[in-house]
Amino acid sequence: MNETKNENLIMQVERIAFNYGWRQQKSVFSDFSLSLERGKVYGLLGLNGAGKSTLIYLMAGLLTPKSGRVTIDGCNVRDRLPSTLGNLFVVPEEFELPHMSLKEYATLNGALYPRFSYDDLLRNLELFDINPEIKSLSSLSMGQKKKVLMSFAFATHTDLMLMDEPTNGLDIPGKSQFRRLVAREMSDNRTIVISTHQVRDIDRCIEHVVIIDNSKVLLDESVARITSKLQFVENGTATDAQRAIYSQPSVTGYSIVAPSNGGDETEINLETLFNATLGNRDKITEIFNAK
Amino acid sequence: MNTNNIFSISRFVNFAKRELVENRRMLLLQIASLIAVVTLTGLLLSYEVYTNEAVIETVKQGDPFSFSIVNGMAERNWVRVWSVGAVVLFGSLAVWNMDSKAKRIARIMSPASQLEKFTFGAVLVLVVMPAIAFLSIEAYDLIRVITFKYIIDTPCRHLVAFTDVPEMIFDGVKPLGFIVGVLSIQSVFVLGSAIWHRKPLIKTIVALLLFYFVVMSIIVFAGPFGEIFNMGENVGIALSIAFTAIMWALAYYIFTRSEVVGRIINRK
Repeated sequence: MNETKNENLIMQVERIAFNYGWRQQKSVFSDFSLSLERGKVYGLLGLNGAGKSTLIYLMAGLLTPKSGRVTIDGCNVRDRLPSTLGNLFVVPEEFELPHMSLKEYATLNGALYPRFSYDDLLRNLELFDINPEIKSLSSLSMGQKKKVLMSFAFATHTDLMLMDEPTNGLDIPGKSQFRRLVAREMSDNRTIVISTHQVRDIDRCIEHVVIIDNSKVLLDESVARITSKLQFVENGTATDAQRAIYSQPSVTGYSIVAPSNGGDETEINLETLFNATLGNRDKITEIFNAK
Repeated sequence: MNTNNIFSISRFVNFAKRELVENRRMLLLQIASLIAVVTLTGLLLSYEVYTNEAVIETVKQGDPFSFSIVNGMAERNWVRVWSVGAVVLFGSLAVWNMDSKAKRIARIMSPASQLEKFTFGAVLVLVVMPAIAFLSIEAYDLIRVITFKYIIDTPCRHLVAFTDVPEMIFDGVKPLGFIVGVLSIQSVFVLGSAIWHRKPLIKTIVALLLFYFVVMSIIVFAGPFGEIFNMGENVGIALSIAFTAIMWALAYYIFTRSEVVGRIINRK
């Protein structure tokens, strides 16, 4: 049983500790663990400074944990083996594209990824309404650059993609195009981790929520389990708000997170879930630990 | 799928091609700057000689070598200083293109082995850039001839032959010792580029100057200790080779520990 479970894991973050700086300053992570399964889209949520980007860098082997390790298919990611790097793509928040045509960029960079498909790159660009006849990538706007990089990233067909704030800089159509791209390109082998604080941009495309704070995983649950345990109400009354785990006033009443009453499942609202988890973590833990 | 995780020629070629083509603008700018510097300085150095009436007269009487770059003392020294300086300073390109967070991410995440990435830098500083420095001397000489022959109307006509350059560089020194010495100084710049991703050339020069002043201070206060350097030539060469190897090995080690943020030492 255990073996079957492990085979389905693509990444394991095993009891890592990490801090920046020369001396033992504030610890970003201590004894932190997380496992990612194949074929899922993970939403990695946390407050500013919670360590989302640091965790992405640790997962990619761009930072070295002080102790513990991160593995992809059993290989330590910090070894930076070509076989690992060819199966992992990071879409960072900050990146640069060179002064060259898209075709040249794709030819040069695609040669480094064993499963890269130029046709798929064109298909992805089409979804973003980007004309592939780009003469100079460096002259594109930030949003267009991001669309090109994400199109390229998906065309590499790596099993694992780590995306740090992928919707930052995208226009309104771009955000829905991004969600469509994720939905279209997902497969049983591919795992995507989306780190963001713009929860509304991704709440319809993720399948698993990980909320981190103060070096700890506060919530690590599938959307299916969350919606079976919690109820999300958008226009609740003041009475509903009183019995809720979390509530916030909205134009139409109260946005509420409450324990499920066993009725119909509601659509997840990541923003209220996030606030509820940070504001009432004991109650949330109790709900998800209950059998 | 390529399962070789240590060194694959095809992957190395793909990586090197990507690095060179993506950064061709920067490389071309550097090469153009080098040719400009060597040409302008060389022209200034030789201007006085080539416009000297006595020298021109000698040439007209049938001694064209008065204008040969091979025979001109000032130029010969200039070519030597230039060649050595270029090879040494280009050492700072060994771990190149990692001066911003975005570039470090792109470089580290490229699907090539650490050894392939480092080898690219080694080929760049040991083969490509010295070759470019050498070609810049040829380019300089061509500009020199054109300038003096057609603009100043001086009968300068001798271009540097490829075979002349080594003769100019190694004139009066032992080639092996000279090469080993140059490479050992270059290796310090290689190490500097692995430690400092931003402005490695300036930082290495500053570090070397500080080191020099510390040594000089010790000599001033503790007296000369030149005797300890009084070793045989072969011992000196062996020590220089060992020193160079250690610097390169250290540079490789530090390169493999490079991270997205500029932490010089990471702990594990």
